[in-house]
Amino acid sequence: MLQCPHCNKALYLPGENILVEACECGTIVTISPDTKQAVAATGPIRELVPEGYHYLKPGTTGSWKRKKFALSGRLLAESAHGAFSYWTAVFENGDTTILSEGYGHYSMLRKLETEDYPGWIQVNRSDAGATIYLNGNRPYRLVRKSVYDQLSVEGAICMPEPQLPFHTAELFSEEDGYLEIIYYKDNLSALFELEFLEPDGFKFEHTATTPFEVSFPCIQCHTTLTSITVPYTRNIVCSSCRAQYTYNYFEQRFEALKEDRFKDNHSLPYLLPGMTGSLNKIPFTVAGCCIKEETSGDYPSWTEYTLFNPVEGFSYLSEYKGHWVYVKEWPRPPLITEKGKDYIVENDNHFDLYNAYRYRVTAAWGAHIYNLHHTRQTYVREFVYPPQTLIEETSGWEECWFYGEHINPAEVKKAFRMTTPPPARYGTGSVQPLMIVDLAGVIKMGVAAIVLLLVLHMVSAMSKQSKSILFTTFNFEDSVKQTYTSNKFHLNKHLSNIELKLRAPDLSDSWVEVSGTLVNTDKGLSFHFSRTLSFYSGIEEGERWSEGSTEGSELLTDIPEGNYYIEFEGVSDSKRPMNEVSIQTLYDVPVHRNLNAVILIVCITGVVHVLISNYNKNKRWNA
Amino acid sequence: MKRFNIFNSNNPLFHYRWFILVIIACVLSMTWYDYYGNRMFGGSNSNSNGYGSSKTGAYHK
Repeated sequence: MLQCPHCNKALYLPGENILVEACECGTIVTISPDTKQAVAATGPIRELVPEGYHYLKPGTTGSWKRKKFALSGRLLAESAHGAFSYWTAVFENGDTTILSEGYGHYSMLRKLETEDYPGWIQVNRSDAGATIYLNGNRPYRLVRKSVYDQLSVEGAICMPEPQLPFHTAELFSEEDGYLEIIYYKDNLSALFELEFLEPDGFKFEHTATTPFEVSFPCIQCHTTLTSITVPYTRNIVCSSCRAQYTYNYFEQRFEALKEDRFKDNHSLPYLLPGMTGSLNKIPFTVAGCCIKEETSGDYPSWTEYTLFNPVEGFSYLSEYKGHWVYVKEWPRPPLITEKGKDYIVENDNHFDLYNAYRYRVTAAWGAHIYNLHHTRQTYVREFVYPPQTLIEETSGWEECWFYGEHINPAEVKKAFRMTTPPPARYGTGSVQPLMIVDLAGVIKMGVAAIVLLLVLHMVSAMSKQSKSILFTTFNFEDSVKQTYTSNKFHLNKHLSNIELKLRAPDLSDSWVEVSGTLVNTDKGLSFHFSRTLSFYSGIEEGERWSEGSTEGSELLTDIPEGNYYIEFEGVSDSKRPMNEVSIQTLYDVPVHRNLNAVILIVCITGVVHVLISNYNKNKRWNA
Repeated sequence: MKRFNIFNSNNPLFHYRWFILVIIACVLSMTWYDYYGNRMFGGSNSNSNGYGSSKTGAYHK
């Protein structure tokens, strides 16, 4: 039985590898993995008062890879840049692992039994984005390096007692996934493989139900200021008097900022802190809002709203000239399969670089999870594949990726049940969903469609009977008018066609007209037709010309099954009589004109798509 | 498993959706017209047919 070395109270160890436990008396107890002896921690780790849970809390249960677990405690690491929780998950068989949680991202850590990874000194020499070789000399990109200067523990955790400052490094490779190195002490560290899951994937139960918030009165105007995003909050700005506060995570309280006041006097934003709404069926509360401005060029500025949901974490709404983009941070970088200086390809989508800039914050309201006055070191690149956008924010210590989608202003208005109209829209938005297609893509698709149409038409043509049911010739030597009535014949298809092919080979500077009726003797149906052949030619100013043709055809469609006979009447030009015209009657013939028509439609549609796309491209990039 | 939906903006074919729809419409309509031996955009028989009594031709005499 282990006892607290300070109050002698019995310590309950929920799992096999519990190494640190916070006793109720406030003592942080470390447990030797070898001797299983409990001693008071010597480091400056404090006990986390059990309160303030957004979603997970000690006792929360869940499952991972069909194994059930319960959370026994956590290490909360805080720094000027943010806060992160390392929960200990205890499985039913007593095994333990770490579940990391922060900003609505959840991942299970699996320890890799290797020492082939760099030490903190080597990592610290590199900036985010640098290539680091580890785990069998494989290249990884340094995504984040963190230096935490405040550690708190609650419950029992399976991590060794860390020292301050507490370091972690996160690395990513498109091929090999996401790794995290946790440096507990100078000579003690471990490499973990991370598996990110949506909160639904863990099937959490027994989670916190009461929303956590921290309130305090503004020292200037006594308005009650509320932050729903502690411990992530770094700044809060009074919406009434614009007084600014910073979160002192050592003291766990907000302190007034004497300097760094915003000079600009902006009017109130469309959405105000505290408003609630629902986007993509996720209920959000507006935590804060700020005006951001590029530090170069034409200094364009836009409004950014920070939305918070205790389970899903943070999302953002960005509004520029009335165009809205709904943005969510990704827990890891995108899987980029190809990239160039001004584009990236992700999930077969070609994202073009739309903008690259640094920014400053010129006005703010409510709570913010970053230091509003230290944003200039962040370099932002926006890649667009409308209506989608991928945003990369890099600084020396981290590389963050955000995924955004265009959202209609009316949707924002409806989502937050606003009665006033959203800001008026000007120009074309960066990811406004205008049709943009690739010429090569259109050609490939068009060729594929034409090949498909050809094959289908050929198959159809081969299935046709193309049966000659009658051949007759009119001879006009004796009379300019001739008639003919056929014998009865049977047509055997439910519905088909008849083609009449006319040939008058000796037609010259004359005409001949053939008309007639196809008569269904069963139902009394009649199909009338008339076709004139004319052919004229001559020589004018030394050039030979001709008009008309000595051949022609007529198609009778929708001919039902039944018994028929056909009547022909031929009339030739009385002034220039001709010899003869032959009439061939074919049943169930392919109609090649259909193929020509659809190929023409496909080609015209493709050309129209390319033209509209080029117009839209120019419109967007000139906006 | 992701559902294939060209009307989902995440789908790489999202911007080609109308082109694809036109192609599908062409394939279906050409197959239909070919099957029944009809002519696209040509209307029905240039000389109308009707459910009237047939002309009394030589055959009936």
